[in-house]
Amino acid sequence: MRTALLIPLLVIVGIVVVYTLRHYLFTLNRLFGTHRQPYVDIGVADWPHVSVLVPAHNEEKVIAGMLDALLAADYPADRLVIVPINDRSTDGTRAILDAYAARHPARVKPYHRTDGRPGKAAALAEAFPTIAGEVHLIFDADYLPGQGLIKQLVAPFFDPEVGAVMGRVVPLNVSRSLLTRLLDLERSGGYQVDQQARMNLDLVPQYGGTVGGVRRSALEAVDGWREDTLAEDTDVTYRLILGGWQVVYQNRSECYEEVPETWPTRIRQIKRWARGHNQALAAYTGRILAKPAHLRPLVALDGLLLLGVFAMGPLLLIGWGLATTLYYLGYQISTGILPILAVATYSTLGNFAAFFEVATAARLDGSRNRIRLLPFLLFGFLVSLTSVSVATLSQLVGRFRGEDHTWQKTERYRNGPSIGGPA
Amino acid sequence: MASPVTGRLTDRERLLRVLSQRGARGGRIEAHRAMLRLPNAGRRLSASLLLGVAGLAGFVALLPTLGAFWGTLFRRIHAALGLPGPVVERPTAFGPVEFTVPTVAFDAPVPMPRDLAIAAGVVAGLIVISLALRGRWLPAAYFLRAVAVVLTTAVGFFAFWPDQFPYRLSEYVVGHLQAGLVVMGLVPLVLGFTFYLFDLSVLRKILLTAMVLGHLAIFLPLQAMFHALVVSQLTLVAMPVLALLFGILLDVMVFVAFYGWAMSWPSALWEEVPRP
Repeated sequence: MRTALLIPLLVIVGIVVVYTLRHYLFTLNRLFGTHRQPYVDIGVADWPHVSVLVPAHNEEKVIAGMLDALLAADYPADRLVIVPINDRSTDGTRAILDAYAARHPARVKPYHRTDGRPGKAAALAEAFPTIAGEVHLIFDADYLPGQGLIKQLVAPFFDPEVGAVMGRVVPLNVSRSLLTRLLDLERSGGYQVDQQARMNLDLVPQYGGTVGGVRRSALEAVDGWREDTLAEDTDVTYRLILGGWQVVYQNRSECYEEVPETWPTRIRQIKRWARGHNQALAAYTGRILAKPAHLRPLVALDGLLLLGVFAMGPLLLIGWGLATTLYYLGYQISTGILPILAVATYSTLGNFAAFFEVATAARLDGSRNRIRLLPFLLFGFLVSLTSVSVATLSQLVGRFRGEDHTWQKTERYRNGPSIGGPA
Repeated sequence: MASPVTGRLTDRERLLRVLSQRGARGGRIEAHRAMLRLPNAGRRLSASLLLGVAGLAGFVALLPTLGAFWGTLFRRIHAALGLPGPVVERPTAFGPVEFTVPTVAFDAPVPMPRDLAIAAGVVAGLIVISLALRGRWLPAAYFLRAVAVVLTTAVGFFAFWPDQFPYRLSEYVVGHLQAGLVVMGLVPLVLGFTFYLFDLSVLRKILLTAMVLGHLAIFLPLQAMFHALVVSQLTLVAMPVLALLFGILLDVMVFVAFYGWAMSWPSALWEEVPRP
């Protein structure tokens, strides 16, 4: 009995150790490695035609600020078209977009959806064939891009092998609550260290669905956006990688976003991420294991580990269940498994950036006081672990029952369309 | 590079830093945070590991003293709490070093049906409170539910197999202290792999290590005695919750809290240098 429980527990501990080592090596690479930030400083060039897509579902609070920031971008005006995709909005979003289109008819060209499947993936899939431009950049409606960001994100596409580019997401509403501060720490670890290290090591930087973009021809070569996914970013990342394209992460290309300010919003967000990521896990694990000739073994391994991050939640819960059962069977706590699991679990949950990674990233960012919140990440991890596990379980049950997934919009907090809104 | 001992820049280094960052019309050119990194990887890694190993060696050498200190602490707390029986010393080993750790010499009562009913009531209370906690208290609600789940497993176990619980209180205390020693031994090594790499003085690195180990050296026996007191009063049904949620996990949290604080200490390498 003990052996039957101990073996799967050891397997889980082994997987946790692999992730822990991965986080550690990434952090060392970020601290000491040579950084790859291709073409980030190009200022003068024959810039390609770019369409900036902004999917927006009931975004009247934030969309005007986003459009103003894009209109102020340092990019040739005749080569930049802003395409807000009004995704079945029932608030004032449509009116705001039409007002901007009237004021800037050559630069703002809204695409209005009135029906069809809900969600960002479906909106992008529907609008994609109608939108020109060699490069499609995508931003969420609550983001605030700086003037130079468009050039920084477009520059890597001068390399013909690059299929997608991702910039860094930085929370702007950090000081609102403990949650926003914890999310800032997690985001910092995920981008400042994790993504940059994967970029440095030529592994699998992830296109994150916003503050980034795709090469139109690359996307067409891998069959475009899919509307049946909750994580179109992860989905596209893997199809591009499997299709032989490069994904580039630009750590200097920062853009500012609202993170969830309340726990229920955060729970909904991470559940959606988990379901979307699990979809990708089911869809692409086999194809990566089959390993196309162009995929280096380390890239394949990193791709698999990245696919599995949200599966770690339920796996860790199973590990805790096994460890608790072994405890009742007399497996002494001092013999090692429980302490190891406790330590490893503590350092790998949440957004799955380990504590060293998070603390290093926050230190690099100069967020010194915020690093002191490190132990509070445990509470965030507990919520994430439970939410991810519940989402995974409901997804499995739903799949068994043949249910379709649902998309839920993330709540916004900014007050009204006042940030540079139309007169 | 800053002095490895004090972590401060020399005057020459400070002047070079200012000159290397001077831009047009005297403005300062700051490195973007995306470009910051640490120099001298090989030297830092080897020095950090050496310091970590030295810290572990120092800890191991102090184990007999630590065991004796814990014994003294145990006897004083034991007497103050009026717990039954004597404090006994159990031989233990940490690598090549043999020493003793203290424990209690009395057994905690097995829960009776009435105790299990009270514990079940506590589970219900925890769930009700967790459901009432909203808004920013939601993480606390999740933690209370975790406590409720573990307590439920304890109630279930003692309801069906009351005579088969594999732990006696005296063994539990020894196990807790031994697991704590493992955590303490890992402290300098973990810091060697993580904290010592950064641009801080050796004195600060040693200070952090000493603070964490010093804190745990006092916290662990107090924690063990507190667990013993709670289990002796509330019966063995309380032991799983204490062991799984308020044992090693809490000790690790203490370590992380110190680590997070120390990681916020200023660095000579990345800090802004004032103008001369």
